Amino acid sequence: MGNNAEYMILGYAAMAIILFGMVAWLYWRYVMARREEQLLTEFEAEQQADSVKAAVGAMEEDVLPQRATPGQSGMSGPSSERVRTLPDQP
Amino acid sequence: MVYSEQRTRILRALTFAAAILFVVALLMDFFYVGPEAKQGEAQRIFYVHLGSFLGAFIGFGAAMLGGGLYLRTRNPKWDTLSLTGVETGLGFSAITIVTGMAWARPIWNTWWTWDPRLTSVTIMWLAYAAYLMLRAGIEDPERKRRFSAVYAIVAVASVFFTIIIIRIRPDTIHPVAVGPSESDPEGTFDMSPKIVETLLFNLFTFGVITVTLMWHRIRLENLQDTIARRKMRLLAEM
Repeated sequence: MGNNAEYMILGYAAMAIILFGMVAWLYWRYVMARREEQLLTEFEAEQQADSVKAAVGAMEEDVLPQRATPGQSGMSGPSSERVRTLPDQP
Repeated sequence: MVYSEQRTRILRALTFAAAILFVVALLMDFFYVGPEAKQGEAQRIFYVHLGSFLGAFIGFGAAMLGGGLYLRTRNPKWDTLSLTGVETGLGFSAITIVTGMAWARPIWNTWWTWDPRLTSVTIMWLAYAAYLMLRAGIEDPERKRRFSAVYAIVAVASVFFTIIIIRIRPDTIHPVAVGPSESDPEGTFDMSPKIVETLLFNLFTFGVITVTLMWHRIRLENLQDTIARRKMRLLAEM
């Protein structure tokens, strides 16, 4: 039967390739997931900033409807129905 | 999902221990124990062959356990355990098959033969590969978890069948390393104390590696679940 060392090396090499493949695959998926999570966080922060900006714009419109810029705040302009019917407006 | 600092530290320590154990196990395989008289150096494959089968057994066992607990509690965390068990078990059973082939070539003079054990291990591998296909084919999450849980419980029969087949079938040429068998086929390992020590160390090492990989895989699955939920929430708000 001989020494059979080449088959031993082949067996261990195959084991190492599969095992390290499993670890590398796991690591790669983890890195991708982290990257996606980071992108989501940035997107959520952007969306949060947009909604804050829109809310501030709406408040400005309520206080000074003649100065409000329609389309900028995401709310209606001073001539719209909503602003005209605000209770605190003359 | 936010994990406690203590759990993260334990996982880090386990990962480090698994890496160290793996290196020590390899050193034992190559330098501590000598070559077997009849089979030569190829016999050393036995340590990782049996170790990886233990890894597969732990993985598939966890899959069955997770499936059973999911059906009982309907808690998705058990489904995650089941999925990670199958994925890890598939990797380790692939190692078992490939290392077995490398051993069979010089000892049996063939890479592969349709021996009862080799056939049953192939069926086992395919049965668990089908589990992943089943999951990929169902969209409804609850239905997917329920079907997968039932499948994981049923599929474990292939693992036990693989274990006992060499003890009940006299026509197998696969050696029985531990315990009695129907026949005493040529090639049965005559284990010296050093072989036993190396084998036990390898079994322990592969057990630790399996648990570590499964733990990391569970964390990855939880992270991906969180990302999917956040995406859904963002889409709903848009």
